[in-house]
Amino acid sequence: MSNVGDREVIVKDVHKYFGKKHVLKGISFHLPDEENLAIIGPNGSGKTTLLRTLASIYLPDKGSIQIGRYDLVTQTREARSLLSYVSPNLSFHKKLTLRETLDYFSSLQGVSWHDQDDLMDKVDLSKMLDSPIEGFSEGQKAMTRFVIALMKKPKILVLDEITATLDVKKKESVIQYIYDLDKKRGLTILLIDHDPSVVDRLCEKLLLMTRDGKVMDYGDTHEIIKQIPYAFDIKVVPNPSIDVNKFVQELGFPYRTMGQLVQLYAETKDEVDEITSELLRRKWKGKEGQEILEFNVSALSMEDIYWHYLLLLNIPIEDRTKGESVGKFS
Amino acid sequence: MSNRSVAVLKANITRNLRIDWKYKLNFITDLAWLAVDVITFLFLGQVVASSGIENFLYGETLKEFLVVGVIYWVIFTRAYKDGVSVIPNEAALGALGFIITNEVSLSDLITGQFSSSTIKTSITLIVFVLPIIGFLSFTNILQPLKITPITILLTLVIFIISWVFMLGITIIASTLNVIFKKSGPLTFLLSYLLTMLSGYFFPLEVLRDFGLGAIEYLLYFIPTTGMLYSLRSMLIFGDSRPLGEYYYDFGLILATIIIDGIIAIIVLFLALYVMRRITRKAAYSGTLEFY
Ligand SMILES: Nc1ncnc2c1ncn2[C@@H]1O[C@H](COP(=O)(O)OP(=O)(O)OP(=O)(O)O)[C@@H](O)[C@H]1O
Ligand SMILES: [Mg+2]
Repeated sequence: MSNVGDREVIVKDVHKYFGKKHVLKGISFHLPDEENLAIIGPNGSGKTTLLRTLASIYLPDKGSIQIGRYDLVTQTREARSLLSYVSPNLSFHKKLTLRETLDYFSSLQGVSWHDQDDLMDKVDLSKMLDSPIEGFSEGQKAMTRFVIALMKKPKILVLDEITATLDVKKKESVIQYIYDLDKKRGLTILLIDHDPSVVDRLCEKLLLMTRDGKVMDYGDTHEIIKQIPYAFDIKVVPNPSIDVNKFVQELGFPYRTMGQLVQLYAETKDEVDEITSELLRRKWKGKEGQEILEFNVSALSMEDIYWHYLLLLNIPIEDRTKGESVGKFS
Repeated sequence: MSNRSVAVLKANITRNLRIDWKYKLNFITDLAWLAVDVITFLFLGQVVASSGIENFLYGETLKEFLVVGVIYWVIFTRAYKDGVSVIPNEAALGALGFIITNEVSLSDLITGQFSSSTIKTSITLIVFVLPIIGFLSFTNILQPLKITPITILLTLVIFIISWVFMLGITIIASTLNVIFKKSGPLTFLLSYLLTMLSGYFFPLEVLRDFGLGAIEYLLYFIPTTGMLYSLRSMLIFGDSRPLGEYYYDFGLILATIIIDGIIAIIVLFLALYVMRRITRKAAYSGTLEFY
């Protein structure tokens, strides 16, 4: 189906400056053929900049990037023919219908969009073809961008947070679609996503970036995620009048505090139940004794995994977020 | 021009006309604007002509002189204005990254917009304005223009040369939009300057009376100036026209067409080259996606 090296991505010591601002500071990694990569890191660490540099929107000021067999700087045109990147910022003329929009974007790429019918059915866009974009939800626009990204049947697909605005059901069908497409066509996917289940399912490799645009770690996703025992987090807003430290000590679960906000971590559903019933008890203790104002439970995010991984690697606290404290990590 | 460019051009023209069609009110505004211009200049011409200024170069025909100028410029100022707003508009849509990573040149997009604007304005002119001009000539409010097969052909050539030149200028002005971002006032100044230098309000020959004859001759090397001058002479005076000691005829018009035609083509190629360089540079400075 494809030759060795056709879809690999080799990045060597890439630096990117915007004026005096040094955003990427020597990024290197080698992504083999048909493997997928997720980039994670704190806000502003340069994930999007790296993705856009790989997609040739920006060109590196130093270092080299090889896309398939092509050098991104000297063979930009050839490299671009393999790549597809649709920015999450792409918006559309609101008065045009979906059909007119797809017509336009397929012509820009020199392809037809009619091969995407299957995907359009799956994400419920087919029935919207004659509706103007102005009535579309954020999720529907994200799907439109995704359809546009796939039109040219890229070998290397670059995705920046495409699932961020999707509901659970849509997200599932999109991830499944990407998964199947990847199996069928042997894509190389480069992505940023905040959902560990997305990253875990699609990406063999994980690139962790430091706050200041360097590579902290690069390795197998499973190896990295496996080391983090937690699956859930519970965000708690305590009553400002209570002593947060005493409160978390009493609960006895792994935690992280940021100012007045407390985050608790649980490994299993049973632990979640245990924590929530305790929280409910403290919430309804009576007017004067109400210790917490609200809380909510969610699946562990990619940020949390990143953050726990930093702890495992013993990265000093000043390189993480300022003003936080942690406890009870084994 | 590659097949790819042609396809992109077609797609852009289609899209722009579709969008324009959905904003029909703008079309009426444009038309009203043009009507105000024409009527104002008719009055201005009438006032000057009837004030009895002796030996004024266009004398009795100042109205025609002004109206031809208005019609000539209405096409190109509209296309220019739409053309230079392509990059800011696409940037606002967040589409520039997508465009360059698909190897679509920004010049192609600008050309697409410039073309659809030309099409739109030309249709307006042909459907609404020319019949009115015809009516005014019929009722002797305007002196009939010299319409013959030769002047029609030359008008077409003049139109094409001016179009090529103004497209080049639009692309060059757009590179300012890539480098400086908010360069609206600057690009507006550029088109205003070209309009004025073309002798929009008065015949450039009057410069001679102020001892600025050399400047007048230099100005004809600006294609829009040379082409508008030729167009007016031809449509108002026909194949030859005595101008005191000067003599203007088809031979001179042809020479102007050749020289200004070459200049227009050079300007367009220069513009395409500069735009390519600037786009590449922008990938290093990060200005395109971070508008
Ligand atoms: N084109 C540009 N010009 C100037 N500065 C830029 C440009 N693109 C990004 N930056 C700056 O580079 C830094 C990294 O931004 P980037 O968007 O890559 O971060 P990120 O890791 O994707 O963050 P987030 O998680 O919020 O999406 C930021 O400080 C940003 O302001
Ligand atoms: Mg980002």
